[in-house]
Amino acid sequence: MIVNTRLTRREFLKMTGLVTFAATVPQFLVELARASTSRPIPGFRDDKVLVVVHLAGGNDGLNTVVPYVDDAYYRARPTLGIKKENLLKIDDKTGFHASLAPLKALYDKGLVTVVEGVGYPNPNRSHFRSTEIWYTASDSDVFRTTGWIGNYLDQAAASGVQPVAALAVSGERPQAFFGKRGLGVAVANPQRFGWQKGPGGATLDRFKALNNPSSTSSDSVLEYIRHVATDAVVSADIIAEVAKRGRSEAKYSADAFSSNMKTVAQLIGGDLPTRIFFLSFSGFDTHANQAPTQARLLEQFASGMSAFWQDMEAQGNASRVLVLVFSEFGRRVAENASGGTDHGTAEPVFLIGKGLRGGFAGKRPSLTDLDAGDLKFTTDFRSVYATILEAWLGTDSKKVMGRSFPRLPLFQNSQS
Amino acid sequence: MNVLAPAHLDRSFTWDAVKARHLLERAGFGLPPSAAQRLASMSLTEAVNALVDYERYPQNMVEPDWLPEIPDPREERKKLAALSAEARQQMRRERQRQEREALLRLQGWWVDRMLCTERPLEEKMTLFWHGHFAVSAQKVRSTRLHYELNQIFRTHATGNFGHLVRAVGKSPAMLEYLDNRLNRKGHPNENWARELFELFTLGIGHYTENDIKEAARAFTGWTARGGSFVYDARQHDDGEKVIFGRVGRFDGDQVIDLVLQQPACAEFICRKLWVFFVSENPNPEAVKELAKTFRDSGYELKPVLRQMFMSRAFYSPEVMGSQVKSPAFFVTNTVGKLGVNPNERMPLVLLAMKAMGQELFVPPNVKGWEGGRAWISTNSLLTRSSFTGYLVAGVSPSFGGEGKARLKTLSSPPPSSASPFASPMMSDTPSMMSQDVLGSSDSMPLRDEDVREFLLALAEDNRSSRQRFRTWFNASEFFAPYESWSVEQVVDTLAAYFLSVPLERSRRNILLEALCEKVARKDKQLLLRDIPEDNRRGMLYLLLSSAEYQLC
Repeated sequence: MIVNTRLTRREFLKMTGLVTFAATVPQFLVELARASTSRPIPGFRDDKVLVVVHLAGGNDGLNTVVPYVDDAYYRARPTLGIKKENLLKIDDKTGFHASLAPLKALYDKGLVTVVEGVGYPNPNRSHFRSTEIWYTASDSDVFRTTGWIGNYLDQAAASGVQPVAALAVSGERPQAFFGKRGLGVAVANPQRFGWQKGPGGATLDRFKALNNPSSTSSDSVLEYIRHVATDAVVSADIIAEVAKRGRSEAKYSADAFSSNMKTVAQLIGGDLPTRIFFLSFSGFDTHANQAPTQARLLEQFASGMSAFWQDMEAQGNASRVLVLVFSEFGRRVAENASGGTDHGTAEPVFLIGKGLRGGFAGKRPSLTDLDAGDLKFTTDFRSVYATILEAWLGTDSKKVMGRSFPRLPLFQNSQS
Repeated sequence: MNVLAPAHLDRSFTWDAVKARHLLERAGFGLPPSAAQRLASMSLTEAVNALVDYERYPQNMVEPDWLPEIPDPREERKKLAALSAEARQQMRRERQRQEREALLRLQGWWVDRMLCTERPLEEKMTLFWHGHFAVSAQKVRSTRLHYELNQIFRTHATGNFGHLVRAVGKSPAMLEYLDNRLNRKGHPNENWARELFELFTLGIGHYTENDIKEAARAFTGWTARGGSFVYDARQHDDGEKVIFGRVGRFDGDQVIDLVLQQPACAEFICRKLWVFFVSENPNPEAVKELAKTFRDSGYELKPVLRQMFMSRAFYSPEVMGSQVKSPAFFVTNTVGKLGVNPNERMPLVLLAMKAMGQELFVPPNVKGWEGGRAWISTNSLLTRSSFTGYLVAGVSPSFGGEGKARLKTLSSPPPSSASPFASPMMSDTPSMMSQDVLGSSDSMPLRDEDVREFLLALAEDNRSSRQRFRTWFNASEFFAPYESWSVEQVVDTLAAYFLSVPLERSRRNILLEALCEKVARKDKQLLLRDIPEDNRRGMLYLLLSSAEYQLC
């Protein structure tokens, strides 16, 4: 197995005696260690990793990245509006929600880019449909069965690629993974992922043979299940190996999002041959009594992300990891009568990583020029995808999404 | 030829045990397994009627008497005001603990209903409505409200859809889940109105954003207090609304009338019923015709269900054995077929269902469970295997030692003189749980050590063959009837008993090899009695880990 012969970055650091005080190791040495162990992920040309985080339910973007000098904001939100003094001030017109302190620390280091006003034409306010649109990168009135990550893998992955090329930390495989080649797996907990040998003749080999696909197609349900069984077994071997070596030094909170980020950190640290990790973090559908709920969720989000980044730095993996954070939509500009907000449209998208320009990108939507009470989007989410596909994953975004979208100046090396 | 034409009108159609089992599995949980034989001995019409007209059989329901009360809000406020902040916190925590415990019991109570009911379609439709009008305990904390909504689903399970929608819309559980209890004049909350159109009755594309906004106004004043529906006239927006192009001073009930007048409604529900009961790919013609039946009957469900279960399409080869079992089906059917009493470890059974992706009363979101292929991921497939492996491949139960026997013996054989009026779904074994096992102190509440044991089992890595469990599957009893059979016969019989899809020869031979692992043949025909118990368990575990076993 490929992974067996690979040194993890951590092992390299250990060998070179740098691991004991990972936090105090000069960054250039960590980078050096990284560079010397760097090899492409099997099936891909380089070792870049993308971590996609879906804040499910529709995060209220306006109370996340707050335009505190805009009177229209406070007029629309007489009770939910967050006062200037309670915000983490970013610049003379913007503040982060107070729960985002750990994220602001990353922002201050230039690691975070906020793309404002991200959405798509003719927005759909259904969670499910809008999620589907984001997952499949389709127009609002076009129904696609394959996801953008599935399309990307179909397009870009060469031989040697493993089913774990995309991995969702979840019991369920997200639609974003759906593709012709069926790459991408769901793993809720790597510690207990695998087929357990039974008594008598119940061996793993027999389980494999019993469920060996008869054809390459997954058209029939039966064949589909056999393919999944095969992927599970192949992936379990690799994951078991990796989970043993992957460590995480940072301190994570006990909430589900943080522990899932910890899982991702361990798998990256153990050098799982995975190009894209996918996490869904739900609970953002705040129709009533939004303030305490959103505060709690954003806190979990920011602290989980910050711990994850600490791990990436300590592992020497920070330069090869990019995080994309989105929600299926933002929320209505005006608050409702239940201390909450209803489904809306455009929202800020977060990118976290080292090659980014940092700061703000896109254009802040007006709070007065609205479409039936909702923000008018200024950047198509597929422009964000296109930029990541081209600049980070090095692939032709038109082939993945069937159409060209303007690229955004998000990365330091980008031209536009 | 019309796909909905009654199957038996076709001369080439034969009604047999395989088709009867298909009906029993789709319209119920495939339990008890022997009911397929009894259904097959009737005519198709009688068999379908036995499932659909279930009122003729007793409901045998033990109503829960352990649901926490919902306090009167005024009393509650008074009580809380008198307490210190700390005591208040303490009280809240205690309430939460009680609700969690009650929810677990309610989940077990429902699993028991699925296992023991003589009216399987009633429970299957209750499950369908639970997924359709999804309400989650993650938001609605009162277990009593979940039970009440569940009873609404059961009462109207195969009744009138219009009555059902109205009852659900006024149920405190739904009023809380989709926030309509907060929907007030001048301050509309659209959550319920939107999902009513999008997910519960019409589907996307059959209403406008404006229809939602106006409908939300019409539902103002529908609220709940102290666990009961309240119409608060002061909070109702009595103004004029425009909905689906109609103008009027509509209220909530009238919006539901308007919805039911939309042609899209009947098609939407019939399509969903088709996907749930027949096939992941709805046949547009069949859906259209069922919708006509639905509308013509004034939204009565029974004519639709009867037409579906009688139809040629329902028994077509593409449909039979093509459905992915839901976790609820997988768990109840497996337990029932193995003759295992789930009550001894109900928390584990519930935990397994949750790990497979279906926790009762906790659907993932308001859209319910996706179902179909979505049940199968690398993760859930391995979890299904873990569960069956746990059931059949652990060590023999030990009855001594730990004080009270944790593993009760399996029920004694059924009294052979079943009443001639008994439902064909009458269980072969006395009810596994209804004798209030839930109340017995050693099965509830959730025992931490059991959970830990189970999680450890799931975590067990491949190299370790150490067995940590007392299984509660009784292998010697299960295999007893087959001792003198040839190993080939045993494999073929068990495959036919457990699988709804034929097993290819080469795959069947793998099971045979597993059964005979390390057993010397010595040129004679091997009989089951030559096979050690570990091999039997191992073979059964493999059989239940097959792709075929995921389908019904």
